[in-house]
Amino acid sequence: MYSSFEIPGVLTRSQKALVRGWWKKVTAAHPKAQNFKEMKVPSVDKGVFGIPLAQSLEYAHSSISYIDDHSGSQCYGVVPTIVAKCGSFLKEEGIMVEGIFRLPGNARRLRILQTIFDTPATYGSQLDWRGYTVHDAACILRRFINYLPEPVITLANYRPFKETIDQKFSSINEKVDAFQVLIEKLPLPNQYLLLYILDMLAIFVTTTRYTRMDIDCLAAVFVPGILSHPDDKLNPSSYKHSQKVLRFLIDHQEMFSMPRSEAGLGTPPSKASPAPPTNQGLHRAATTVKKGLHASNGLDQTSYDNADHRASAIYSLATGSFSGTGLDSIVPGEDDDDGDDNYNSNSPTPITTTSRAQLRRSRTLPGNRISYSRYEPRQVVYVNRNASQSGS
Amino acid sequence: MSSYNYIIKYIIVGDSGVGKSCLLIQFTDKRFNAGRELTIGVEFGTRFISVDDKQIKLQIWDTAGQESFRSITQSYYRGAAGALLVYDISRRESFEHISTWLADVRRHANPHTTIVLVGNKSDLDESKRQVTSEEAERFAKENGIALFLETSAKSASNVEEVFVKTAENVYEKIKSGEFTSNETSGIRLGPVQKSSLSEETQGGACC
Repeated sequence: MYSSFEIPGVLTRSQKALVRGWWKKVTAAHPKAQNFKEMKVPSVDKGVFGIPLAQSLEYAHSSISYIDDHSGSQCYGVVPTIVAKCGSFLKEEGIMVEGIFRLPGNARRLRILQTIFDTPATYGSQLDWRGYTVHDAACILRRFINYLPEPVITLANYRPFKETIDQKFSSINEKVDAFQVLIEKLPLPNQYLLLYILDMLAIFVTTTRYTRMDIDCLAAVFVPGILSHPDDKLNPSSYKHSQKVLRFLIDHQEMFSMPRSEAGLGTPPSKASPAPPTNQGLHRAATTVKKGLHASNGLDQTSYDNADHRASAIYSLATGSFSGTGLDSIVPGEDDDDGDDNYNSNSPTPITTTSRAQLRRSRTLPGNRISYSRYEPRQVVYVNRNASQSGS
Repeated sequence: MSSYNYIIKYIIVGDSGVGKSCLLIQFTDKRFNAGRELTIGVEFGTRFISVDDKQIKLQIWDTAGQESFRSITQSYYRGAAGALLVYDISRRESFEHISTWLADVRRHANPHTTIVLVGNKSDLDESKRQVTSEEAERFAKENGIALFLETSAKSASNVEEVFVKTAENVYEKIKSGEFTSNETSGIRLGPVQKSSLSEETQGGACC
């Protein structure tokens, strides 16, 4: 099952010209980038690959927004631009693709992507995914995480996470609480990143029958970047142990809270983001979330009864052009809107009841897109956490 | 069976999802399970075969294709007498990445390692094929790869052949003296050989 992006290695003439033009610019600005063949370290001075998370976030981030359950107020967090960019593309185009996250991308295109995401000033936020496959996106995302100097769950917290999975608890809730405490010990950027990834993976778990990537496979793929330690680097059984932890976290991701609003970093994206979303974008996204909440109410309500104090919703606003047919082309029962770039800002992408029922987590389906014409192409990405709860 | 003449170490490498684990399981257990889980780090299988009337124990390390496990898998390259480079004939990219895998093996294994190119999933419909056998054959020749075969872990076609022919090639090298039995060559003497040759090969054999 391939999406429309799955035409390996095929670029139209104009796309090739675009790439060439872009490449000229990159190499002119960064002569070092010319010998990027064995690129494992950032090719530019201020890249993102291999750079500490907190550092690269300063110049390459996308804002995510969510509702604090305690205060009910809207909070902002950040994830790396590359993560938001790949995450939204994957959630839009990859959730039905067999072997997603497992099959490698094309090595040549990965090098190009790495350079794009490594390059100021936009750090790939304007990337057009045309010409790339979902496997390219999945692979470059994983590579980014794997190249972080420290895993997403930082080394100091490695043992506690691994020990907690083996501890006996009287209930799942207690176990979740124990992990919640550990998650809150992580640096804030790591918390955002971890919860973002968990949320994304939980979406992919719902489509296992299409992707043939079950929760264990998904956990296995992300173990090296999220929960690993140099001491255990050559020990397969320790990876398997980490996989158990990650499996639990994905499985119960709706029960984990996002950082509280007073946790800091509460800067609205318009201030911090290199390409700030417009008010319209914010407004739009907020509406989207509400709709999602409403729609999913009652669907998942029962399963999350115990989690009413948990976080409700995060979504991210990332700029960048997006040109896919999205789910509408693969989910049956969808309206036939074939125009790649013609989404009307006033009419939300129709997500039918059929697809909701099929995918369960309707609230994480691709959001309404804002018109691409006239101003900067923009996409709305939103990831809701336990959305059914905040409706109550 | 404990009476064998040699232990030969293999590694299986290639992109993830090309069917490395399935090849191994087809060879060792004679079964195929399509829904198999992802390999974490490395996994391990053994089987006895006989080559030229000699009993050989194949010790096969099946590595994870995931880039993120590269550091763990590379540590197993060392001391491999045979290396199976596997691609998926229905995924062009997995073939294009073979040159990277080849370079990896050449860098981390030893110079005498018998390298074999394996195009897996030959059971698939011809319309899905993205790599012709001629092209792969040519690639093998140009890159000094001893052997090329197309296999199907699903139908078991050529699976036996790949492992056995690799062993034959290794055994030729043993006979010609190109390989000596020690830890780094990936060949060790079995108990039978050990006792009969213990006078000449001092310390070379290993437990």
